[in-house]
Amino acid sequence: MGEGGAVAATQRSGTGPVAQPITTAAGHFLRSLARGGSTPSRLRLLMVVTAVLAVLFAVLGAFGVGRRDASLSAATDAAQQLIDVQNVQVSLVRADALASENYLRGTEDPAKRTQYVQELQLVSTGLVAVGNRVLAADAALLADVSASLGEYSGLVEQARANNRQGYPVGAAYLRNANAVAADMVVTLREVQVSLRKQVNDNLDRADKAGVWLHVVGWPLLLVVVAGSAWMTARFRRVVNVPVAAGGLLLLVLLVFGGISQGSSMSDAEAATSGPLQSADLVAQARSAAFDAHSQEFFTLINRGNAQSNEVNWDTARADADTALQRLCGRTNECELGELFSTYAQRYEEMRALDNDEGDWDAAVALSLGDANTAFDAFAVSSQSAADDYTDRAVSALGSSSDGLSTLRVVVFIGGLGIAVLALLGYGQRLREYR
Amino acid sequence: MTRPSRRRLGATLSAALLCAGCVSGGRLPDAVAGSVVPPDDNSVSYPACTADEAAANNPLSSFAPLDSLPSPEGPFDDETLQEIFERGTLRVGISADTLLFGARNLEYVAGNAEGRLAYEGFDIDVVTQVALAIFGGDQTTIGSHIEFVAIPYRDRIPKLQSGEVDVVAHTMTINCTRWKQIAFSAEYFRAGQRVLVLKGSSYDGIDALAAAGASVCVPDGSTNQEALALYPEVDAVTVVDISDCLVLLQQGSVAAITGDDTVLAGLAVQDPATVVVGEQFTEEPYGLGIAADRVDFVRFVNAVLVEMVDDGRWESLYEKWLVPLLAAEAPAAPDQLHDRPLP
Repeated sequence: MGEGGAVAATQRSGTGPVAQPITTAAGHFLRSLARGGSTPSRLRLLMVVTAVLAVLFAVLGAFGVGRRDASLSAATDAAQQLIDVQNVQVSLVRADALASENYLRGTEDPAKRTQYVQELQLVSTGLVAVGNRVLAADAALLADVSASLGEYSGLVEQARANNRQGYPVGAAYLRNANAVAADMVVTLREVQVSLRKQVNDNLDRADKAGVWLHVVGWPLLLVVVAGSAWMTARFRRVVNVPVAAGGLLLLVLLVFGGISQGSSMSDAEAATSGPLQSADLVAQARSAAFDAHSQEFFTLINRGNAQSNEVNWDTARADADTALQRLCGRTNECELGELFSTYAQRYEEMRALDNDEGDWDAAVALSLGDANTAFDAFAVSSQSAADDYTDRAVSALGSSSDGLSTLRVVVFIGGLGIAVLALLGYGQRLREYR
Repeated sequence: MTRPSRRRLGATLSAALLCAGCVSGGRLPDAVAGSVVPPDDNSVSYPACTADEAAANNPLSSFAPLDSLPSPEGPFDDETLQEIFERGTLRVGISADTLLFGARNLEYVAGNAEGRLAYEGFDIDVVTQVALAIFGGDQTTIGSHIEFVAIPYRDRIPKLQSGEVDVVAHTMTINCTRWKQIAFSAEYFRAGQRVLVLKGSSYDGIDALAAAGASVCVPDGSTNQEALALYPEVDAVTVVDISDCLVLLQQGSVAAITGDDTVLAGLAVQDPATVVVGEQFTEEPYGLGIAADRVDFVRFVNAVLVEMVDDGRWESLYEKWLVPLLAAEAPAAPDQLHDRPLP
C-alpha cells in the first residue's frame, strides 16, 4: 500500500463520524490522530497511548477492585463489632433486670442469680474481646465501660446485703447501680453510633471504588476500537489480531469485572438493608425491653417514689415498640411485637393494681408471675431472632467480597496483557515501514 | 431464558456498568429513639395560709374528742364510723419505707397466727389502736380489718379527698395550709430536724457542722432543705431521696445527713455505725389526716388518742420503736389541743 492512499484514508476519516468525541479525552485523541502526521508516527502514537492507558487500567482497575474488597471487609468487621457491642449492652441491661427482679423477690431465686452472674461475665468478656478490635477512640470508651462494671457490681452487692436485712437503703444502692448501668449504656450507644457510621462509610467507599475500573477502561476501549478501525481502513486489512484480541479482553474485563463488582456491592447492600438491619432492630428492641423490665421492678421497689421509673418504662417501651414496628414493616415478622405487647398489657395491669387499687402485694405477684412469663416469652423468641439475623448478616456480609481479590489480580494481569497486545499489534504495522 | 429473566439480567448489567460509582441504599439507619409524652404533672400545690388565717386557728388545735368512745362493733351514731364498720375494713394510707414509722414487715406471712401485720412502725401501731376501737378484738384479729394502702407523700391529701382512704398515718406534719384541704387529729408525735453522723464523729450537731463548713446531705426540695439553708456555711449536698444520703454517708462522700429525727432514726437502724446527734432545730408536729368533712370521725380518733396517752399505750409505743434511738426514755406525749370550733 502506498503513502498517498494512507493520506487519503486519513483525510476521509478526519471528516467522518469517527471524529465525534464520546468522551473529552477520547475525542481529543481522535482529533489529534486525524489532524495529520505520517502513518508511522500515528502508529507510534496509537501504540504508546494504548499501552499507557492499558497499564493505567491495570493499576487503577486493580486499585479500585482492591479498595472495594478492603472497604467491604472493613464494613463487615464494623458490622460484627456493632453486633458485639449491642450484645454487651443487652447483657448489661438484662443483668440489671435480673438484679432488680431478685431484689424485689427479697428471697433470691438462685437461677436468676446465676443468670445475673453469667450476664455480667458476658459483659466483661465481650468488652475485652470487642475492645481489642475497634478503633482507638471507641476502645477508650469501652475501657470506661469496663471500669464502671466493677462499681456497678459492687453497688448491686451492697443492695443485696442490705435487702437481706430488710433495710430500705438497699433500694438506694440498687438505684445507684441502675444509674451507673444507664451511664454505661449511654457510652455503649456512643460506640454504636461510631460503628454504625463506620459501616456506612465503608459501604460508601466500596461503592465509589467501583468507578476506578471504568474510568480508564471505557476510554481505553474506545481508543482500541478507534485504532483498530483506523488500521483496518488505512491498511485495507480485515483486522489486526493482537489489537482486536486486546479489545476483546478489555471488553470481557469491563463487563464481567463490572458485573462482579456490582454483584458484590449489591450483595453487601442487601445484607445491610436485610439481615443486618433486622439484627440491629432486634438488638435495640431487646435492649429497650430489658430496660423496661428493669424499670418495671423499680416501680415496685421504689414504692411511693416511682414516678420517674414509670416515665423510664414508657421511654423504654416506646423504643422497643419503634424497633419492633420497623422490624414488622421490613420483614413481616410481627410476632415479636405481639409478644412484647402482651408483656406491656401485663405491666399496665400491674400498674393499675398498684396505682389505682393500692394493692402492692397483688402487683408484685403479677409482676413476678404473669408479667414475667409474658416477658420471658418475648425474651426467648427475640433471642432466637437475634441469633438468626446475626448469623445471616455476618454470613452475607462476609461473602459479599468473595472473588474480589481474584478479580483484582485478573484485572491487573489483564491490563498488562492488553498493553503487550497493543505493542505487538501496532509493532507489526510499524515493522512494515522499516 | 424467559422474558422476566432477561429483563432482570439487563437491569443487573445496566446497574453494574452504568452505576459503578453511585451511592445507593443499603445503609444502616440511625438507632431508634422513642418519643415519649411526659406524664401529666399530678403534683398538687396548695395556697399557703395568710397571716390572718394562721392567727385565727392554731394549726395544732383539733376538734374536741367525743365525750366517750362508743362500744366497739357499734352501732355508731357517726355515719362515717358506721360505714367503715359495715365495710369491715379501715382503709389507711401509709408510708411503706419509713423504718420505725411505716415500713414493710419482713416477718409478715398472710394468715399468721401471731397477728403480725404486713406493715410495722409507730404510725402503724397508732392507727391499729383506732381500728381496735372500731372493730374490737385484739392484735391477732385486727389485721383482717385494716387495709393498708402504701402511698407516696404527694398522694396523701388527694387520697383523703377522693375517699380512697379513711385516714392517713404517714409522718404527716400538721400545718395551716393543709388544714385548708383536710382535717387533722390532735398532734400525736413531735418530730424535729436533727443530724445523723458516723459514730465517733467530732460533729455533735448542726452548729458544729456549720462551723466546720462540713458537707451535709439533704433531700432536694424538702422542708429539711429549706431549714438547712439557714446555715449557709454548711456545704449542702442534695439528692432525690434521703436513702441516697445514707449511701453517700457510707461511702464517705458527706459528713452528715439532716432530716426529721424520726426518719434519721430509721437510717440509724440500717447502719449501726451511725447515730442521731444534736438538738432539734425545727419542729414537725405529726397528726393523722382525715377528710375535711368527717369531723365526727376526727373527734372519734381524738378520743382514741386521749385514751392512749392516758392509759400509757402511747408511752409503750414510743419505747417499743424509738428508745434508745431517739431518746433514752419516752418523753411526755405532745400536748393535745382541742380548741378548734366545730363547723
